Amino acid sequence: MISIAIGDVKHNPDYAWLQLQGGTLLPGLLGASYEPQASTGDLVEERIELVFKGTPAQIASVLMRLEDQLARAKRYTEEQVGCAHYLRLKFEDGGYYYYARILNARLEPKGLSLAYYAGGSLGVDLIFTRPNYFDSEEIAVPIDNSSGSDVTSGLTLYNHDDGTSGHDNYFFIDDADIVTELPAPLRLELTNNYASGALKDIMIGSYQYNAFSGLPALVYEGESGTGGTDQADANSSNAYFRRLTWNTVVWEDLLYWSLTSANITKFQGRSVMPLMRLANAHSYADLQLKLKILAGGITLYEGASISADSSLGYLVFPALRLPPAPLSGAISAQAHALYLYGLKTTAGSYTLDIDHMLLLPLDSFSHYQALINLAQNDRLIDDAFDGLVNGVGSGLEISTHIPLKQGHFIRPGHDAYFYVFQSDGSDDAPIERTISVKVLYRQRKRIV
Amino acid sequence: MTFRAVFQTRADERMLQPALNISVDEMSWSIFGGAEAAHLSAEGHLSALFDLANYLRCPLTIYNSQGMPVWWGFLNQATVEIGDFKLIFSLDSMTNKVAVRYSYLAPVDHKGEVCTTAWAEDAASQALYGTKETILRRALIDQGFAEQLRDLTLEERALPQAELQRIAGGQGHNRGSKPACASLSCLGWMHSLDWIYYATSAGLIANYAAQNGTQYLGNTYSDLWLAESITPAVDFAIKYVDVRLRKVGSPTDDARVHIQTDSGGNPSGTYLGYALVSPANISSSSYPWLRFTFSTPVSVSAGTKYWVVLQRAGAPSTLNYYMAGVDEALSFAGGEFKIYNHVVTAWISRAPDCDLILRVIGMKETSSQMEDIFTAGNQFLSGIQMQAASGVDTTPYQQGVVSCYDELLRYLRLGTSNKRLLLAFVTPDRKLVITEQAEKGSEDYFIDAAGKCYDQYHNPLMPGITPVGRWLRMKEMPQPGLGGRSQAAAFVESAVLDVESGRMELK
Repeated sequence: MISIAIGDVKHNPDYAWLQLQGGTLLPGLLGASYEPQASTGDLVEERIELVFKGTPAQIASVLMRLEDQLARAKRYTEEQVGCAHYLRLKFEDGGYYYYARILNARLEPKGLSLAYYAGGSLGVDLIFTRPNYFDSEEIAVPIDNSSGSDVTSGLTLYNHDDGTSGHDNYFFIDDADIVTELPAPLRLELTNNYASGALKDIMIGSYQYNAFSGLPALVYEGESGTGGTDQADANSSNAYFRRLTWNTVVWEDLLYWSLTSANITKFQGRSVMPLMRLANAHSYADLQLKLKILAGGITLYEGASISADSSLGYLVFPALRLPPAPLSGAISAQAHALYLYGLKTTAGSYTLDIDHMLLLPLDSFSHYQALINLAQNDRLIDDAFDGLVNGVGSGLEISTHIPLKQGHFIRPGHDAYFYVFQSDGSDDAPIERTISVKVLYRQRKRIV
Repeated sequence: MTFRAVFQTRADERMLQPALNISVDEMSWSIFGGAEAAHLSAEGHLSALFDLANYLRCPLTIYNSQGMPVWWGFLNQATVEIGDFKLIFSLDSMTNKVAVRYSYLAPVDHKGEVCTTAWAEDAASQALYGTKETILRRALIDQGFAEQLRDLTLEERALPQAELQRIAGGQGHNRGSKPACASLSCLGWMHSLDWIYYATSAGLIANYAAQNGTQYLGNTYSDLWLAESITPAVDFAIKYVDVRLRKVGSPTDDARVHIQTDSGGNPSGTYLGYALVSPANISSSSYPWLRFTFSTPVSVSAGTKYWVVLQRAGAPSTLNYYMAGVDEALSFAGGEFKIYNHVVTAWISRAPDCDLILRVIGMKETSSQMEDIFTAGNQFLSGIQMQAASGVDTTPYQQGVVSCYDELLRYLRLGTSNKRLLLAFVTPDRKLVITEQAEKGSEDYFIDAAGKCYDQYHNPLMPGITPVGRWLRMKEMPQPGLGGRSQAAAFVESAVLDVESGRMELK
């Protein structure tokens, strides 16, 4: 261990860290000894043996600095006042610093401390609790879609995914670009670079897979379904939407999409959240919709019905598993079909214009509910390392969104596609909306 | 299992979340409202913990790890624990609209008259939390006492008060070194209907006074018909009219009741419906209640005057006739009594004046009544959707001493004419949906020996999704069509999920 220090990553210049071993030590502190402990739990309690030698004033000064750091670490843990404090380690020259959050800590004198103190030396144990892993410094992640390859400075994502080059609502992370032993925390920076309207809610879901799986089709255009009629529309994904009309007052199957054998096999039981973009908002107060999955004409899954909120330009269905029940995976799965059902309770003809259905993958997921919409060039930052989600506007940070399950992680040895769904201040989801995405990660390891 | 609780403002807008670590401990669901109760824990800065009192009645939605809302309701109570004490801020005792129902002072061995004060209200509290009514009950007090009690109660309880309690076992057990924390108790939206009492005069107009006089009916042409006027306060349909009637001698013609419109303060002669009772079914002694049943209920409108006209179907006879019980004390303020004198061919007043002793009873399908109850009690929900008609008719009359919540539950439990329960669920967009219990064997859910639940297609339920309101079968039991039939299915009325253990208790 060539360097041990405690401090906070917000005030990160090296001089802001209190060195315990290696580097420049405060007068009175001789050094520290640290042996990381193994633990099977989420947290681990450890000790660092500190050795002091100096005048009583020098030793007292170091102890005062230490107590202050530990008190601030504890206060943040208990009250979220200030900022998190970390143990910072470096194992080798030229290597990364690794960080472990100090959740709670105390100092304990070793035996006969009074006698040693009088002689100008002291042994003290720093006993602390930390999560059972270490995270490295931030490392930029090169990301891809048809707008660019290996981009670290900001990759453009559209709010839809069709055949036009650049029109992708996802970014890809190659597992070869990620070195981590445990799922690595990501820092996602989303910049609203769309000039015509603020960015409101954002949903991000990832699909992460290794050599034994693959990416299934996750976007289903309305016009690729069966049922209804095509309508040309430049403001719809793939320049078409599917118009569904019906007039019964019972549950009616309106449209279905084929989920091919190859696709359904790739899902391997993963969950997805179906997000359906409407080409045109409807105006019905009593419209209910639900999804079913059928195979060979037999219903295998029936989701809870949702009230189709007429104020939204998109609809969110309950998450579902694909295939709905576990399969062995030893052979390919049968093809399935995803059916959209509608129910209206009053007589008359109903029309629903379906642009596309995004099966938002849920290997990691977050829904950022806007308190304050992001204006052009404002950013939303979700940092899984410190567990915070903040907005940044004009270089100043503010809480702009309520995160439902914040923090994204990438599994070691897995490629990953991250899909992003955007809505605007009118609760619509225009397809031409864009954001720019930057991704950073920290290597995470348990054993150092 | 991880769940995320998100508060909204009382105006249903998004808001900055409390600066606290909040974890969901327990959630429960019921067939009578869906989301029933939730208990959460909070840790953090003391000022933020105490600030939770300002979140009372704020909407709260709990999401599962897949972003699906699984529980929704409002914060009903926040308890902050600090040291050996806890401070409880609760909506349970809060009330901002108070009346006192009391019996008036009376001599020994006499019953006092039952009175109710006018409501006293606190508009500021109502604007903040919504209206929460309380009717206090007292016996043998006077009006001044009742009004002072009402006003004092309103003053004390219009805003949630902090209740200080020592933690059980806390004495001598110094929690001072432990961080302060809070527990939050939330209720599902259905419980907000418990805040308003339900009263309707629909379905019952009655003069219950003690009989104090009798009146010939069809003895001569001068007492051919008897009539009492009624003016309903709300629309309803008359199904029954009860009067106190006996026969004298052996009349062979039916007794008859008309519901007639009014014309210049008298029965118009135009009847909206009629009902007959055979003399064989009429007593010749005393004056028992006699029921006239309208095969087609007669709709009457609020504020319109109608006449209940009591007749005999045949000609008068001084030997064989009917006699009605009347109230010469004129206890019935809602109408007037008249006699049709065929000798002078006019409706005339009786001397001495009286009121007919009667009950006019309306019936209404309970599913329709539930819509009325919802409308009367709703403050925070977006609407009601009746997905099933109950097919059961009852008298809707309610004095106003039970809450809309209790009244709804009464009808939900009464079920449908198919002998099934009615179930109520509040949707995430806060619509109260009332539906009929599914038939056993139709779309039953499953549970395995380890307690894991599956839907009707044997798919595992997502985290926080429960089988409440479903018939549940053991996965290991033989299924219908395979010789098992339906004996093994149990109906799930409620579920409690302990989040930490993931264990779900089903009832």
